[in-house]
Amino acid sequence: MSLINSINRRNFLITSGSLAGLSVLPWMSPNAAFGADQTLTLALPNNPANFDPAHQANHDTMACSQVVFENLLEVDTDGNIQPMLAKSWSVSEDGLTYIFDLRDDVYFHNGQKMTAEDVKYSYDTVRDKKYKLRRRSLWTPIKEVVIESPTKIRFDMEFPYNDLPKLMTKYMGVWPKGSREPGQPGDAAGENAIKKGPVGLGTGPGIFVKFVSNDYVEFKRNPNYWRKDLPKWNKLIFKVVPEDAVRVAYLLTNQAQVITAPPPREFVRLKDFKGISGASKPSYGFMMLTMNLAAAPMDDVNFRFAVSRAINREEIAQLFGGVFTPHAVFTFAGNAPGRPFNLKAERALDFNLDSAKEYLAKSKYPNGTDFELVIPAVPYIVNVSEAALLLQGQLAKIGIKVRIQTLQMRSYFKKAFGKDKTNNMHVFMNPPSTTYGLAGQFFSGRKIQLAKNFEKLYPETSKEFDEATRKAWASKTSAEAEVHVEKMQGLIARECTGIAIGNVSAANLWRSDVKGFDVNTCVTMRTRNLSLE
Amino acid sequence: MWLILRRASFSVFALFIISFLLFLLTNVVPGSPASAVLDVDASLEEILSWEREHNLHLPVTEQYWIWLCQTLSGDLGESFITDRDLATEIKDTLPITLEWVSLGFGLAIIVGIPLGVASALNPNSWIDHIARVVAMTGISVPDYWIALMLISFVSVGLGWFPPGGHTPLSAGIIPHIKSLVLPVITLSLHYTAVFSRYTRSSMLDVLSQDYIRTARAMGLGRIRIWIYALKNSLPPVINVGAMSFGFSFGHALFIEHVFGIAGLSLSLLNAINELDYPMIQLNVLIVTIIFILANLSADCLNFLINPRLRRQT
Repeated sequence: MSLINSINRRNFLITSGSLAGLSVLPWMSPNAAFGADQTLTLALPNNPANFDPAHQANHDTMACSQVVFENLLEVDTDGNIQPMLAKSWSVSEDGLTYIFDLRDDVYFHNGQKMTAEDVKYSYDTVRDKKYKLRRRSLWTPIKEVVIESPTKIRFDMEFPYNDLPKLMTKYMGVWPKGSREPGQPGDAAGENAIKKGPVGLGTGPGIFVKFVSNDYVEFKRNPNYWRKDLPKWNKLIFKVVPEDAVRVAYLLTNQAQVITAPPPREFVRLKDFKGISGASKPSYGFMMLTMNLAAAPMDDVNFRFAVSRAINREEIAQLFGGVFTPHAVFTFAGNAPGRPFNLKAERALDFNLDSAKEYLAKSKYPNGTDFELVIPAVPYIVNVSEAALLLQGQLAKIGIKVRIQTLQMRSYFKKAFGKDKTNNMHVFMNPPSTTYGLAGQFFSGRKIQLAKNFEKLYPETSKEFDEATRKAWASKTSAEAEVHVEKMQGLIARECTGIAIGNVSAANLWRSDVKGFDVNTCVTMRTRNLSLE
Repeated sequence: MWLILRRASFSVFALFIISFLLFLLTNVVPGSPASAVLDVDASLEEILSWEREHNLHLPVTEQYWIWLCQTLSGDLGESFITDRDLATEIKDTLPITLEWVSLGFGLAIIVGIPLGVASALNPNSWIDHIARVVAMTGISVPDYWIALMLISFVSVGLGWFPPGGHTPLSAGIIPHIKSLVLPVITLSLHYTAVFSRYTRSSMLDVLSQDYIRTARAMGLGRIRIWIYALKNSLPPVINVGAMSFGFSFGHALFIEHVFGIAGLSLSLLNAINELDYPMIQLNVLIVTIIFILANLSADCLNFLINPRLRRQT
């Protein structure tokens, strides 16, 4: 009776409100459903622009396309070249012929068996101007691709090019014969299937399911994958999460099991979090400043030296806390085979404030000036924004004002590599090649020369650089190549046509219950071995 | 009714003017969109050919006419950057944004107006002080910071809600609701502040009117007086609300970016960053339509609650 008597409007409202509140609690538990059913989610900062392995602009896109497309060779997580769709390969004594023995147990996702015809078609289309593929210039040293048998293919080279097997691990894939021609299923023009929705076109561990722009890419397990028992996951999701802090939150709340481009300053702290694992490896990537050598103030050699010598790279290394090695020459990580390192060039370009002031005094801008520096708004491999701010402060000490502009990836690439090139700063990731990054910037035959106008403004240096590059490509051993690459480094230092800041390490964070993850020195993520405990 | 119809027809006219201005503005931006679309080493011939293909060689008025005819016939065109059909793009993104923005706005109304009323009825009381703090916080703290704090404390700290993304309803109602909670709260905090402040000041103004004093003197009940006062203080709040609903799609730009929600606002932000002109034009046009519809709805609401407006017609 007393209970009944105690019921009044206020008590009733309080009790029913509390009950309503309690009823909400069960669904406020953490998201245990994620990661269930062997669904793996990986968080990336960039929206994959397309899935065409020969038309990619960044490593996030590459991570997605490598789930579908595979190459003749691959690079293991320590940077060593290993066979993939080719069982073995050999190179002739003169370096002009490569022969690949292909696996005969590989099937495309559409059920068609992969043969030498498909490999030839892939390498012929990538070199054909008609298809306008971004990575075409990497493959132009190939003179001809000849089918020797359904499982044997020969590459005849225009000149010795020992970068070929290294480049074959990236920037390329094998797609079925005819897949870029008009009349493809679901792609009448034949242009977009590989780029937009490569259904049935790859041989990789994942079959493309869906791409929602700015949101996610979904793959399902390829049950007929030639590596038996792989992959272990049933579904693989690449989730686009541009914000650093939110990407970390995805990991901490188990919304994503692996994240790329962790915030550099937080990386060391986060990898020791309970339930989180993390590792970094010296990589083949370098952070650099590339310039428009024809436009003021970078058209002045002394000014460029002043900039390079005013950058305190050690300070930048401190900012990155262990995942960055400062260098003033374009060199590679400590464990890179045949690691070239031109000490003389390093000394000529490295931090020295007095020398920087002297160079500035000799330049056309003795009282300092300003220049625009574009950086990617969304981390491209590593977030360089804090390093750019630090650099801005360092250059201000000698009177050089840097106007930093952050741009989204597409606009960034236009500004950084386009006709109206603007000085820029980003991380350049290489395959396991000591020449690739240098040639990409300064070799006159490359489609995109990052050091704009190098060939026109410094014809002698450019000629010498091209010669050194070809000699490095023709080298039979890494020790031999090292000599030529050191020369290339010295030629860049001669007029300070490129400013290196240092090597970045590949770094990832993942949940401790993810098995089979190993940080890749060439950064592209390998997903086929991943599984959940 | 004629007033509403007049407003509606004016809105349609305004829409045409705005769409033309929008078209003009995106076309006077220096540089060809071809430079943003084609590869960095595209030749002049390739650029000119691309421009011809997209009618960009024609005068702006002619381009606008072609675009208008296509749009009115339901052909919204394709994105310059992704080559995706814009109708599909809008179909995928608009419902997402519309849903969470409406919920956030609805929550702001539900919390903000009663808070403003309570604050006006008890000036300088503890509830008024709380309302003031909420308002100061909501108006002065940027959305993206609130979003990051919510992610840090509510998502990572307490593990109650996912830190981002949008879970479709097809994946289950609870995951769907959970994915909406943080962005909805982030948006609603700002507009709760707006509504509570406008309601408070409007209500205080009405409560100080002679007719309220007369009603009190004549012994009318307190609650009845409050209802009359609220009804009379609502028109300015409705007008501000209508404007704010349009503006909330601007706030959604940042919120969708932080939470990684693939909605209309994020699509607009990316289109702006990537110079995807057809996408920018269409997204802005849709936001404009929403803006106009919200204002038209405000007119209808005012018409319903304000007898003087009805008498005017």
